[in-house]
Amino acid sequence: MTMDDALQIRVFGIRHHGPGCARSLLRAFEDWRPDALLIEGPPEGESVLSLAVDEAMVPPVALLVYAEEEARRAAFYPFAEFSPEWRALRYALRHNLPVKFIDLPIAVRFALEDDEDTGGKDSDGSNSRKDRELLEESSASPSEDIFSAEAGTKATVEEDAEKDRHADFDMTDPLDWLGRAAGYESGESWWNHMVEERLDGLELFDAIREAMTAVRQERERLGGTRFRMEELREAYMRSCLRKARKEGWQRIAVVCGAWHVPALEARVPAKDDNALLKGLPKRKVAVTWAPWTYAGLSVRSGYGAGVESPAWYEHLWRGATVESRAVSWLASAARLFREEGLDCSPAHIIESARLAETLAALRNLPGAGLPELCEALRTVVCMGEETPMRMIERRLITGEKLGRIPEGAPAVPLQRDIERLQKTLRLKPEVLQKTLDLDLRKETDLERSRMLHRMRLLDIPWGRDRREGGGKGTFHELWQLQWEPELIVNVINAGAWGSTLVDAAARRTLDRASRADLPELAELMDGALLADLGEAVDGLVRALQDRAALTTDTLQLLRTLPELVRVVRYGDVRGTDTGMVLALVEGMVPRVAVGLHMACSGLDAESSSELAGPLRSAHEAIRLAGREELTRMWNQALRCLLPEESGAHAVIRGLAARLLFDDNALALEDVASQMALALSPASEPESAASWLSSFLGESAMVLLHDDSLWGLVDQWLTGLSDERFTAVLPMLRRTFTEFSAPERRQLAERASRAPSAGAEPSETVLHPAWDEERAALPLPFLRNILGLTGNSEAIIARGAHG
Amino acid sequence: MNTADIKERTSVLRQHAEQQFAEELDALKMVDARPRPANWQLSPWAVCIYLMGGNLENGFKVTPKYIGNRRLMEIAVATLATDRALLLYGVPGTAKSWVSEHLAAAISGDSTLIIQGTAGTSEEQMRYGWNYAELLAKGPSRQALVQSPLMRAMAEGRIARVEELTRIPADVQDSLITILSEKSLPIPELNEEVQAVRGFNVIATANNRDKGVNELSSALKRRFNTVVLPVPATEEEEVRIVEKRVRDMGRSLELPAEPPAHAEVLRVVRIFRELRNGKTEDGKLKVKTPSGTLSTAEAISVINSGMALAAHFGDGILSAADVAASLVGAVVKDPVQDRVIWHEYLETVMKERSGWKDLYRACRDVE
Repeated sequence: MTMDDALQIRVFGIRHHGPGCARSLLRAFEDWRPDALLIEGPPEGESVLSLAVDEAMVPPVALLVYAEEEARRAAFYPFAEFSPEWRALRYALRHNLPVKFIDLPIAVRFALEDDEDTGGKDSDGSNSRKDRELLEESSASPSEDIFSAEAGTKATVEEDAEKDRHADFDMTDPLDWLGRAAGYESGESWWNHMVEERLDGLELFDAIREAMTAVRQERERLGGTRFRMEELREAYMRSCLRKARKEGWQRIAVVCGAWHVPALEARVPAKDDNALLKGLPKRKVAVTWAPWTYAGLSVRSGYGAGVESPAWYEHLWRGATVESRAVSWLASAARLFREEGLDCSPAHIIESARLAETLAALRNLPGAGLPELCEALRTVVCMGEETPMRMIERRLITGEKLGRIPEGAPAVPLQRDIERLQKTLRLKPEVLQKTLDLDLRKETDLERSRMLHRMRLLDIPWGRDRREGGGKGTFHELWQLQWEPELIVNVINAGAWGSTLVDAAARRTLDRASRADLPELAELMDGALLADLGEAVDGLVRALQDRAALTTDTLQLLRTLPELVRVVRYGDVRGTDTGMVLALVEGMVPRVAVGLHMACSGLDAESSSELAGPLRSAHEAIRLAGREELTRMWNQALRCLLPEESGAHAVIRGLAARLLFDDNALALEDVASQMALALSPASEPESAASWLSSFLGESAMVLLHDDSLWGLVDQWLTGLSDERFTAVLPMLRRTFTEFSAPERRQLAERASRAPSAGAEPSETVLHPAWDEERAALPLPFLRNILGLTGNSEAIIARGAHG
Repeated sequence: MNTADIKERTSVLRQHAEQQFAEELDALKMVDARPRPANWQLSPWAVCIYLMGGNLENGFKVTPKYIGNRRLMEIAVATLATDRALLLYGVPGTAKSWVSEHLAAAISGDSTLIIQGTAGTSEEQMRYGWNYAELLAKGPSRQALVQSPLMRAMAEGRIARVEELTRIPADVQDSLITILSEKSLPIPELNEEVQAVRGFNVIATANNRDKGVNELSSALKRRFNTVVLPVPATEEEEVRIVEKRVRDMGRSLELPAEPPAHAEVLRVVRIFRELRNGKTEDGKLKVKTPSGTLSTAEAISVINSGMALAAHFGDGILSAADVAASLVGAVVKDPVQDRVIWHEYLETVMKERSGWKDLYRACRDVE
């Protein structure tokens, strides 16, 4: 706290979302009674500040600033109940004090970032780079750093992204420096013990300033570079301070990140700052409040100024003494454990509290902190295992709180983005139902289709895809559009996923992917490709890869393959890059091939028949994929299924034989011998029938028109003795009754002209040099052994019985 | 300590921890000014230093006994200080007994009060037995009583160790319950009891992957704080442990083979880690995990038997073929499921890896 010559200005350095800071700050305010408040925050936010005291406003909420013409450029400033800024803001509004946000305007920061991106690049290159960066942002988290729109940085407390990125030396987190110097594992635990978990008052801010001054000097000494954005921001804040002083307030309280305290108190001539700030570019921005979550406040979400455990901080904010704090925290953990069905008695809690205290003593800590409590729970309650802790982690450590904002708050950016798209694509939201026929070869229609698919992924059912009605044409899509007023609720809900339609859809899809099973993943993949979510597709491919590697269910893989191959084959129509999907297919086929035998053996008839469909489509898919290596592997796997010893049911064996036969992957003689084997007298009639019907397939048409197949069956049939024939007759009847009546008639007709059919190509292939004379020689002898009396015509004619 | 003592100690095959590291324990005792729980030889802080290693103020260097997470050791020591019993849990080869021995040595200066748990461990071994000659001659008396290590630990206020707790039959296990909660051991025959002196505690070890163990009753479970000792965190750490142990064991087995090439150890450790962790070391590909534990100890035995093969049937230099035979055996424990997993790993991971062709072929040849 520094005395200024004429007026008093006190600078309170805080940690964003630090409950200890918040408590000390309020105590300081009560003592000192400031008459004006300056907060490190975006000046754009001042217009919606009054909502902060609205009854309907429940933190966590975020101040959301976004570029008007490009809603995906957005900066979130989250506040929790225990954030010092939030407490300060409420204090000021309650006491009718003027509040000013004094950080560099977001409008300027967006513009500066644009300059950086476009500087010295041809337009194409810069665009792609920007897209990439923005998408990186979107994949990182729904939140962005409170003081920096460049998300993805990990600085914990003083979170200047630029500092992190260009760090010349280990300067990622000044608290880590101090923490390590004090012998702690990280700055986080040091700060928690020194500041947040203590209950002390005003001296705190002096101590913080001293610490930060030391670190900043150290950085200077080690030659760490100062970054332009940081200099600009601090210059801007200083000039705001000067302005406030001119306005004549007597006691001005400044609440800012601890890191900036020395800079704000430094004596810098006004003209230097003004020179620095002169002529800065600006972009148009809009501002509103958005509901926020504890998950979004957690550092794990990628939020730069995030904290390890919002729920623990809330507990610290509400809790009283050090001892009661530990016990009540452990008690709430116990409740969660019990909800998960784990034993957790009061005795457990007592022992956990004792262990946590002993641990704290062993580590020279004044009281048990979050790490000690968690370790105690794991050791005493969870039998040392990490898993039960994981089950309650989200609720215990992160917390599940979801904020609420008053109805009067301005619209969320996603809504704006959808409205903008509706305008540019000339798709008016109408309550009347109407049908839309899209020709995907036209650019606008393609865009419309993408928009509708994206909204579908976000559960905003404005349009219903009527593809099933419109046939399977790849160039046309039929949609039924109907806008119902309630859909606005879905839009607002979806707003949590992102500020533009494409971002939100991508994030939502990835989130669902993290919980989906394989077939659902393939479906999502299809949806993501239809919606053209480039980045999400990459994520889905990775998820598919992981899931495919882990699944023990070959059947799932089988079911997933056709969808993926379809994506590879037809994705091109929509101009999507399917190279990664192809790689995925290439990785999946060997897995299926290895597991196929296991998956198929030991199944009963019913499950085997269920497997037949997926097998057939997977076979088809692999053939379509057209990779020789994959086909070879797959056919090898199918071949393994053929013999009865494979343990596969006759249905599967017959199907495998047929699939291989269709592909000419199995020599004709081999197929014939498989058939003879399967239908030989020793086989169970039931299984022989299954084999044959699955070999012939559902329709007789192929049998009718495929000469080699016909020849094969014909040859087997004619080779049967009378008794054998009579024996297999019921089985044959059963197989053939599955065909329709006209099909059976056609079969009979073809069979009756069988002698002439013998001259057909396949037959000649089978018997390339048919020497009647020589063939006739052994006939009497054969007839003798086989006890046959009829002639060959009669035998062939039997085919008609079927 | 006289010279005969020293001579005797250097000739024993294996020294107790408190003998081997007597110098370190003494040095720690000298600088340790922090409060000690009753009957502890060192303060909890000094016990942690002894386990994890470190430099003392007077320049003395304490070697690390446990290589791994310091926080786990802190939890273990804090547990013993709260008078709750400690259960060290983990897959084989994660240094459970090693840690238990050193904890007992550092806290009580005595790591020999040990009960080895087996399927045949009886209640007499846990509590007390009788010297029957004495019993018949003079009737029941303290002289006729044969104390178990546990009983001695209670009487002297020291740490007792129970190895492989889960191998002990359930009814015998439960005799620990009274000891742990009442801290006393009644002797009804003499109408007496032994009350535990301060400083008494129990460190038990158990194997969490062993099949067919006697699961602890929940009453007993509640009397233990459990610390799970994990498998080594990084590949380098594990390679270091395997190489060191293989070298030591090779010396004691007097194998004429060369010490194994670093590259071969690295490959075995990597295969073990990848299968155990369910993903490749570069984190790019997931793999399925077989049913076996694939612990560091097993990696050591794979290398060892490979070395034996190389020494007695090969040219003395460990090659891919020598490793392959025992490698497949170590991975494929379940002939059906594990084989599929192993094949998948062979085809999707090993086959693609450059420089691994020889091992890939050798593994295929084993089949």
